[in-house]
Amino acid sequence: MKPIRYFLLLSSVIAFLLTSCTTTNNEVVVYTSVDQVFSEPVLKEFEKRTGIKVKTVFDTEETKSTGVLNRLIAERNNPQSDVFWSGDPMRADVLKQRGITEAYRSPAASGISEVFIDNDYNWIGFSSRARVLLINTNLVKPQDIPSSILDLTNEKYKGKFTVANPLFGTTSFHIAAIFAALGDEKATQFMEDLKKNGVVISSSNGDVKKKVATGEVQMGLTDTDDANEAVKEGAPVKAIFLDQNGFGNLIVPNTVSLIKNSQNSENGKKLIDFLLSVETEKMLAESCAQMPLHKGVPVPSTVPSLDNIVPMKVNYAEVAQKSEQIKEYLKQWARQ
Amino acid sequence: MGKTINIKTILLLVAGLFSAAIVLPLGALLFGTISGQASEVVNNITSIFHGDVLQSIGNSLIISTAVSILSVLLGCCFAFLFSKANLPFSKALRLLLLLPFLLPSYVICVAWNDVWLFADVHRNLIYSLPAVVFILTTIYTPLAAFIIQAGLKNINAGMEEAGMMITSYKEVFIKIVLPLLRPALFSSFILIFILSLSEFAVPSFLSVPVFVTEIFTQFSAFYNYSLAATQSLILTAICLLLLFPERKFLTNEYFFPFGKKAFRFRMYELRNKSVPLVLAMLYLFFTVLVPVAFLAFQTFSVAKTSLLDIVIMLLPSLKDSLLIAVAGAFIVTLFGFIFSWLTAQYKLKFLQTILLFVFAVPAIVTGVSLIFFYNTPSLSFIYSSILIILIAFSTRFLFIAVKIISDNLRQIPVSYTEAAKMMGARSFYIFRKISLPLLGEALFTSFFIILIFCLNELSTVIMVYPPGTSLLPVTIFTRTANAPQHIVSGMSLVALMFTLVILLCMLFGKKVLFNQQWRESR
Amino acid sequence: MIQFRNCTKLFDSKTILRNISLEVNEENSFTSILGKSGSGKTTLLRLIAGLEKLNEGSIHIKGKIVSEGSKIIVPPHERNVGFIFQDLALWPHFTVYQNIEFGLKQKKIAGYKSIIMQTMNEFGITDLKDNFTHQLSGGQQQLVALARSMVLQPEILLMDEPLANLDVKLKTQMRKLIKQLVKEKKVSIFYVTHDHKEAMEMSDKMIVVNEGAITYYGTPEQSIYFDSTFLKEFIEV
Repeated sequence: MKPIRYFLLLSSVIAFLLTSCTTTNNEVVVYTSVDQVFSEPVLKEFEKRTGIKVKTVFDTEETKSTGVLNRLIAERNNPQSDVFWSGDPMRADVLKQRGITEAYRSPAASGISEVFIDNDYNWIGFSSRARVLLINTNLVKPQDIPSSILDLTNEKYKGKFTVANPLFGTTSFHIAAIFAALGDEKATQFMEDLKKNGVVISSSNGDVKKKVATGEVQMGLTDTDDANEAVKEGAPVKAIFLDQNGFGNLIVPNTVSLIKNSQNSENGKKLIDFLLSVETEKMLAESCAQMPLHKGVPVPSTVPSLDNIVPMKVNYAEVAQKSEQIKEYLKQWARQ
Repeated sequence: MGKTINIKTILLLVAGLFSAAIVLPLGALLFGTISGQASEVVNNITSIFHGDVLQSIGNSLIISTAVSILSVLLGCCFAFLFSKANLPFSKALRLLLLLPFLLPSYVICVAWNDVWLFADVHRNLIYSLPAVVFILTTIYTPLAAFIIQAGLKNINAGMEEAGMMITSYKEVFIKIVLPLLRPALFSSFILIFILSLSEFAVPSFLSVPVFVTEIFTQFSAFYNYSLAATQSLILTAICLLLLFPERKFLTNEYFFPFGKKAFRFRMYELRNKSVPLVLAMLYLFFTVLVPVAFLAFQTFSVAKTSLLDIVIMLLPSLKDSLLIAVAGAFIVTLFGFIFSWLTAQYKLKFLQTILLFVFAVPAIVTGVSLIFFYNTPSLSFIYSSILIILIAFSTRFLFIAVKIISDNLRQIPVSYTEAAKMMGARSFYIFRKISLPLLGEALFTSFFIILIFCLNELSTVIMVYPPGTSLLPVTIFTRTANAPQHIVSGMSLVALMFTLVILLCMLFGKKVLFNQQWRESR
Repeated sequence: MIQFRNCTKLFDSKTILRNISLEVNEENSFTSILGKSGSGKTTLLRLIAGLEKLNEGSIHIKGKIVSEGSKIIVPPHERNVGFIFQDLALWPHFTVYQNIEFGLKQKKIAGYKSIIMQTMNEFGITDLKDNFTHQLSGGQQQLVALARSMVLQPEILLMDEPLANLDVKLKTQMRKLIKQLVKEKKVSIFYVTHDHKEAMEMSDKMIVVNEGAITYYGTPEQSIYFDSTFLKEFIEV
């Protein structure tokens, strides 16, 4: 045995490893909380069209996006990322509040309604998901399907429905929107009633989907992409848009932000323009049934359209701020 | 003589720099936390007396205590059956027992959840503290069995035989074997206690509030770093309390007794082989085979699934992961060796205390501290390369490597190096020609154990991996969200087989490399 | 030849040797260091070797100062001293040949191969050349350890109870061989033992150590007349 020789060999392997990850200049770094399955093809397409190398840090809503969001906050003084592609406006607004993003008035946003755009252009919404009530069709009779989210406090659904942990992800945004729509007092009463009615708290929206699909519970609040996945898997489920005769169903757009003082901001802007384009919205409509915010984007028949559902009319920036305010309450609420 | 001093100085310097690289980030974060505004600090500290937080600390302690006691008890039984009793099929059973340890804990947790739902277990039982204890026990029992088995192998037959002349074997086991095993029992207890205390995935998935999930919530929902860091400090302090017994009972004993073998080893003849065999198989069936089989069932119940497609999909991650984990295991083992050697040379016992402290910090806090420290313009050559992952691995696992290696280093009689010194060999030459070859097997073992840890490490790495790198646990974790069930299960199976292949390589490599004559009949 | 001047040695503030002074002048002789376990006799040996530092005093070998105060002035390998350890310290990963070769390689002696062969012949271990040391019997291991030290032609050979684990017959053989070495190789031997019979039989001179002090230095014969309760007790046991 010649230990020195092994040592040299292994050291050179490691040196090779370290040098092999050199950086090219024509690149853009994007952090995204949108699931890799859906975001990766879009980014690959951008790479193909522009020749700009895309380096991605993926995360998933299942992990409450701790990875990217905490990274972005921690990296504040020396940003590594150029673009943040978020699955909802709330996280983008957290970054805006902390001065991590900067304004970029993308020309590609011209066809998108102002409702989905931050007042200061720190984030711009595109392809939307919706919050839906997923029901297990084997367990719920058509006449028992609730039409309003407020129906969930009804005795007959006691212990039979689930919500993901409201501290995280689109669920926290959803609850904040309800607070914005009903006012604090009514909304708090609603939350307490939900609890009294035996709401089951799941670890994530994906977990809600799974619980409903397997029949562990009868119904649950989740996102359209999760609902869509359950349908694809052949589970006996159906997604219901709620409050179509009332305050409307919550729409959750993706958002994209430019990171302040980033290293490749020109390429970052190109990526933002691409993400806000009709092509991206079309791709996301096809891959995960997201509703385009541009008018007249051709979509598969299974994708709901903003033309035929009544959206909840909220100021997205306000809701994002509201969700920060009610967190402490929700933390208490979530402990059963 | 001049040259030896130089090499020692260089080694000391390198080790100093390296410890700075892994200790400073945490130190800076924790110091920043406690040196903040006085009122805020006080608020952060008193936050733990809040009912919810106290309850979660209580849950954490209950879980960790229960898991470590159960794992050590079960591990003890398995270690005895596998190494001291003539149990049939023990090699195959041993490998089987190891399986849960080779998979990331969240994969196992999801598999169990599915099994229980399938078996229609009541949800109050599934989403409960006992369920967390059960799952963690199945994960950590192999670790305990592994350490205790090595401890048993150390016991010289003479000690038992002397006892057997006087009393029954049962008595000998309780009065002689168990006390001799004390260091192995203790070290496995401490290790499992710390690991289960920082375990996030399982309690979080089963909605059991524990201290780590509380800290995690402060991070990820409230972005309150100072509170999270203070709470981490408290968690670390709990782990440091364990240092007391560690220092009292273990500093001069072997934490990981690998490599040392008794001159003569006594086997125990089982009078009735079938009862323990059936019990062991029942345990393995219910804790290991069921979840793994369920993963396989979920994968292949969909006709179109091809494992090959999944392998191809995961190929870039498998490649990156393997390369980076090999580099990590190499660096951690190398520095584990340097640290052990320096500890032995200069009696720097505090080094291991510092490393234990670093090891005890929850992974997520480690991740954030690394970002804060390294993400500066002057250090971004580290932060934006895989160096940051290597540093993360070192922070997490250097303690384990140092423990394994220094325990083995201490088993080389001082006279071996003194004899060489008498003949004028320089200390580096002695180190190269005498200490290093005698340590070969320990270094090899440490390398592979760390490799497996690196391959499964998620919590820290997901915070710091450089953009564009794809690592296996991260990929599986981030793809789990919206991939169909059979793909998720398939990915878990691929990851399991991947680790198994590496493990088999290690066992085979050990046979080939360390089969020299001088090791035989020792 | 060897001089201890006011030597004190502590381990963790416990005194092992207390202010001892001693002069051994006979070259080519066999000196036993006799004492109960824990008396400090091994420490004495390790001080001569340079494996331990003093706390106070000085040690001289052949008129040259080798250790003084807490300093090692001449490092172990430059003292021309051999050491046979209690556990023999044969390196398990080297063959017999490699064990003997190690020291010669260090000293960069030209044509060392023939020296090794010659030494192995003298000790009758040529046939064991390629064996690993654990494959040898106790007696053979002793021979290898002796050969490993003697091949470097030391002036002084320090032995720390090397025969403790041998049976009576082998012990007698080895003692004979060691005596022979003194004569043929012109080497002075310092031999630590707790066996007074062995010491009385082998030694030219005896050093008796008790509780960190030297209670007797002289020939075995004279020791009987020496007036020390400890020594008497020790020899009578």
